[in-house]
Amino acid sequence: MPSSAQPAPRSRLGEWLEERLGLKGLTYAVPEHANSLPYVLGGITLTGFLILFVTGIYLAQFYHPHVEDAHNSLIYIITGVPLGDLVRSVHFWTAQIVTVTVSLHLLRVLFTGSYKRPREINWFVGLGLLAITLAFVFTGSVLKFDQEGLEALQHNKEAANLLGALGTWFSAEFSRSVPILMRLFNAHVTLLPLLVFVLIAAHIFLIKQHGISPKVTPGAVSRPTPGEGDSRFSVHLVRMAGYGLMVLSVALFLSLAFPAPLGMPGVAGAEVTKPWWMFLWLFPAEAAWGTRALVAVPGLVGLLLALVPIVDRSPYLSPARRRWLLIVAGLILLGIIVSGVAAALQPVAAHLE
Amino acid sequence: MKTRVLISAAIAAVLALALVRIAWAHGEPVIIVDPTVAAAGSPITVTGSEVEPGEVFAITLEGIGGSILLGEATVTGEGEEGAFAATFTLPTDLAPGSYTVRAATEAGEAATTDLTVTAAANNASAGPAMVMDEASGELHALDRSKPVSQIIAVAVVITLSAAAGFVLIRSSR
Repeated sequence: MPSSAQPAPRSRLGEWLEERLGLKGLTYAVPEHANSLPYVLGGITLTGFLILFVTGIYLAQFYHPHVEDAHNSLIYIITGVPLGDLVRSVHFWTAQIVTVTVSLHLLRVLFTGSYKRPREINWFVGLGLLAITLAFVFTGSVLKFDQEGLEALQHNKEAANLLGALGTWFSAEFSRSVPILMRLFNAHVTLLPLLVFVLIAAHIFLIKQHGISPKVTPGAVSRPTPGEGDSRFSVHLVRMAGYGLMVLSVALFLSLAFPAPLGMPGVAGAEVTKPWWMFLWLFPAEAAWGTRALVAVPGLVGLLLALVPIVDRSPYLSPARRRWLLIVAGLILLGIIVSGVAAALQPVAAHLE
Repeated sequence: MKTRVLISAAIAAVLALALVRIAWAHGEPVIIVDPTVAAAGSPITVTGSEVEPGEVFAITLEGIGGSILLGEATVTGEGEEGAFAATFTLPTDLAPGSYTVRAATEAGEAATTDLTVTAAANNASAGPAMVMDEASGELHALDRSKPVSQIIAVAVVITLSAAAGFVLIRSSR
């Protein structure tokens, strides 16, 4: 029969797409361990960013980034915009989840030695992505311009003063025509997304170039592995999508159960709130050393992280062969956690000079 | 080796920027405003240092709409070491936004710092029947109830999304 010689419609569509998109190029070989949950954390973070972009675009249609109207527009989003409260809450909770997954991703890379030669530059790119993620969180927390947001802005301005010319962007002298809140909004919706896009592209490109870091075994050494492995990258993508849908479910559930908080309109000059949990661990250091701790402590932690592939240059991946580095990293992590818990228990104190 | 030197020089150049103070047109006198974020109608204190006793500084507030003279401050002190501290009340009708506080003498000596002005405290609220006179860390009490249909629809999306995610993860083993 003539019809039996015709390809099925689905395969024809598949062929049409394959001819134009070359999707089979995504089926290149990767090691089996690349598809385990710890190695998919970066992909989960990426799907979280996609949720943030979509919800952020919706919120940007109703948010007014002016000092006088910012908080009011938030109230309007919550009470007047169709699905506004839900979309804002999904944005809020996904940001929390992304901060967790990006931190766990960093810890996984640190623990498995995936920063070692030839992957050092990708480690630095990853640190840049961590910094941008935190910058997203910070600018987002200021945009709501409630008491907590306003206090975050005040601390930021003081910290920027300490940075000299590096903090110029945060000063009114930089642009009298555009208030700082609007500039932070611009950073949140243009500069930071552009930076994160560029760095994610670089991150993925370098992973493709070097392959996934070998599985950690007692004798394993770091080496390039492109094209090696019994599994496929397409499997990795499917798992990433699966976990991404899980993230969406969790964010939706949390949004229904615990809508994103909004404080009272900010009153300038007061300090009656604490920062979000991502920055809460800095609270005791700020209490002890003042605003300069907001620059010095994250700077020191960032510097130590940047030094990791420079200090640890042995090829071995096993944690047993890198125990001193991991002990120091563990102590710093413990310090951050203890500091965060102490800050949660500490009464609110004024730090601004 | 050459690459390391270049990278080290680049890092040192960036870090050196932290030592450079913002000295746009003037440099010697230094002023600080407290608080750096203030509500219209509230007081601010401008403190000056690196100035000479006897000098009189005109303190102005410069924004996109023009300049407002807040008042004058006279430097006190002995010898060549002087300082001033003056408190001014911001106009209640001052538009919220970014401003520059400028202290300048007739001789042209000047210093600037920035100030963010928020809405006057009594106008800062927009929620239901709320007047803010004091800062509060409490959450804004808003009606956040949702229609039952929306809750059911979201619950369905949660279930479908979780189920699809589970299937994708399981099927990709």
